[in-house]
Amino acid sequence: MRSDRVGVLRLPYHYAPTTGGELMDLLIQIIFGLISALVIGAAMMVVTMRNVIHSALWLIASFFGVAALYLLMEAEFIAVVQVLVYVGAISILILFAIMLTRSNEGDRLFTTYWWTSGLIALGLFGAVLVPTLAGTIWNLPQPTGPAGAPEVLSGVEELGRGFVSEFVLHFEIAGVLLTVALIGAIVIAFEERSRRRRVLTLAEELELRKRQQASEHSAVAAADSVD
Amino acid sequence: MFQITDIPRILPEILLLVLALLVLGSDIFERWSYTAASRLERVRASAQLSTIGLGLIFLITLVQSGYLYTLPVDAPSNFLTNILRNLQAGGPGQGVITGSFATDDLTMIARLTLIGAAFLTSMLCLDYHPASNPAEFYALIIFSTIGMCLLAGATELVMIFLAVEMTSIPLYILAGYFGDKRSSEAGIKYFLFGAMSSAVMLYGMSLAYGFAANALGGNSTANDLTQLSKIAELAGEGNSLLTLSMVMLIAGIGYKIAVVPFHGWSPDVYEGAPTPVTAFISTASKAAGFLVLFRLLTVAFPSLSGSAVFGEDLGGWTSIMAFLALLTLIVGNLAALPQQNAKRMLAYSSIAQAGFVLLGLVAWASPQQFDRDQGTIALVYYLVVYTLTNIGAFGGLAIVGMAVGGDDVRDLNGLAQRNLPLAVLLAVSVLSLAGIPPLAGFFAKFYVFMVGWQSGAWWLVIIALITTIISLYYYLRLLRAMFIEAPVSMEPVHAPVGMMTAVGVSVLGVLVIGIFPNLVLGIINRVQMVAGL
Repeated sequence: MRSDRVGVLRLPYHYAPTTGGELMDLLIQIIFGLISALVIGAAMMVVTMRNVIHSALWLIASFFGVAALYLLMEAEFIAVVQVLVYVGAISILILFAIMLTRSNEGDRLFTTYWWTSGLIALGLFGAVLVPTLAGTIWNLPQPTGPAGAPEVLSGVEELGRGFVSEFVLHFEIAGVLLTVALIGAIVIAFEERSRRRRVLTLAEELELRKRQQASEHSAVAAADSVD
Repeated sequence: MFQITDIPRILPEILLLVLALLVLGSDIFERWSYTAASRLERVRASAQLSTIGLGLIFLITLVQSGYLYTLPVDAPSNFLTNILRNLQAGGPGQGVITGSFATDDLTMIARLTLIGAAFLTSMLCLDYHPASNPAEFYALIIFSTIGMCLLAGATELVMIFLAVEMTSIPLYILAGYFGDKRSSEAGIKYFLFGAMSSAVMLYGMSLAYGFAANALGGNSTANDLTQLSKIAELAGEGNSLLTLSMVMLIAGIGYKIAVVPFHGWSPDVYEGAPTPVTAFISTASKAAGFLVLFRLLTVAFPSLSGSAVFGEDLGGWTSIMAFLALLTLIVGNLAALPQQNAKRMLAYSSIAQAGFVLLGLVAWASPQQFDRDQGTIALVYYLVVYTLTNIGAFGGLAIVGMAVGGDDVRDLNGLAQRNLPLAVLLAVSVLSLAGIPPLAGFFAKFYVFMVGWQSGAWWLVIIALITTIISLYYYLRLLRAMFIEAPVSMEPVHAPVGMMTAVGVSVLGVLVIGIFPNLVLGIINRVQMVAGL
């Protein structure tokens, strides 16, 4: 058994009783609930927004919420990394990708009653989850044998040490995984030069869109006249 | 801690990674132009490199495993024996690397199966329709194989998740690789279902980890499967949270192995994806999924195994497995009956085959260690046979689909008159899937039935027998089309050499393993020593 393994996250209940008793515990739970509501609400907005840019902006809000959750768990370094990498870099990348590739704005790929299926899924999930979580006895006797001392988080240093010793395999695999995802993204997005469309200027784009709308109108008018 | 001596133990994975990067990099040195001839040249170069490379890695892994020949301890020391000794020092039967990756016999056999499947798949792609970015196509197959090998040996939740993603992400892209309407649909469908199932699995993992870490006082070793089993034992059978997390893990992996009711994506994906990729998805990724399911359930939750005996108090994961097997056998076999598209029919047949594999897991309903070990052996044997057989069947379909231009059952009409060797190879594969006696498929089915019966799930075995008989109907429909129906035209079906060799090798494997099952069973017998059990 590994006892030299470092912990990356520490759960809040470790310090809650010592620092402020039950009131502190309650306060942390309220803050946790608020931030979670923000994360889930923002994530909901991401998938239901009509405009893709708005979805991306909501995604940033969701990332911020996750960073706040990390902070609540005293994982300051990961919180900062979350803000720097996800909020800072990845969301900008997403925005750029949307701006460069967007050709059909305002498509809403939902059926009319999408929310009923959402509610059913939520209801079933809740019906399983809530009684289970409520009915679970959390306090178990410690297992026999060296269970390892409760860990103390000292931040970046142990995280870095973990990445080159205990978690080295995971670290390398995650690196390969990112490479694979990169290759896959390029394969999907790559168009051969013979088939590639010229990037249009804004004026040309507007012109094109106007023409498309006009042709749609004429098609609708034609259909009406047939009726 | 990761030791320097651990490097030979993950040698197959390292070699696969090097090969994938080599395939990617070598494409730069090819002549780039947009004529059909140069495009074909590029495809050939990448395909040959990856096929030869995978074949070599397979051989190296086989030598390393020591299953064919183990170097005696007192062998004289010279250049060759030194290499061999160092290679076999990384063989099966040591501790777990950094607590997260076990290189036991199960992993070793899984590596051989999975690398072999990747080798046959890349051989199938040698003459398939040229893809637009050939090097990336083959590299993604190899990357996915790395993920599968890691999945088979993962003994920790983080590792399992990373390996699942490493397996799936290349497969999503491969399914949608050809960019036509059906292929794109397959890719996006596979991606959406896969992402959802990963989310469910991750939720189950976080519940299990949260519970175990709480019990251990916040210690992060709680994501280790053996540690998790101690916690599960302490918590007892009535603990609903661990049960829920286990069910979520089963559901998440159930999507990957396409058992009913998590099978919705698979017929569409199998039909839409390029046929060699379908062969790969339906065999290797399914085998890896079953192995991780086996390791997860038996190492982490042995205390929740329960019972699947009819009339007794049902409970635990063996009864879940029995229930899933029941649904999978019935739905898979019945849904295959009316299919007109041969690829779709084989897709439903693959779903049904997963039901038989689940019988090997149901063996844990028996309290006796002997029965459980037999279940493990039957499971691994079935997976090896299924991998070979299904690659043969889909490979044969790929050849026909390429020559005739469609995968409907009627496109197979009169294949015996148009290309007899191909028709015979395809017929052997299909008969093995159906479980006809001299072939490996029969023995595999017989073994899982026997194991299921021993464990007390006789009701399930009877249903499995009935569905096997039903399945004969649609398997024989393929044979009737090939041998009895009149051909549309007498023009011979062109079978490229590479693809024919791949199908031939897998059919040869099916015949040899079927007639001499002891060749493989002797090796698979060693799987009983699973790390952490």
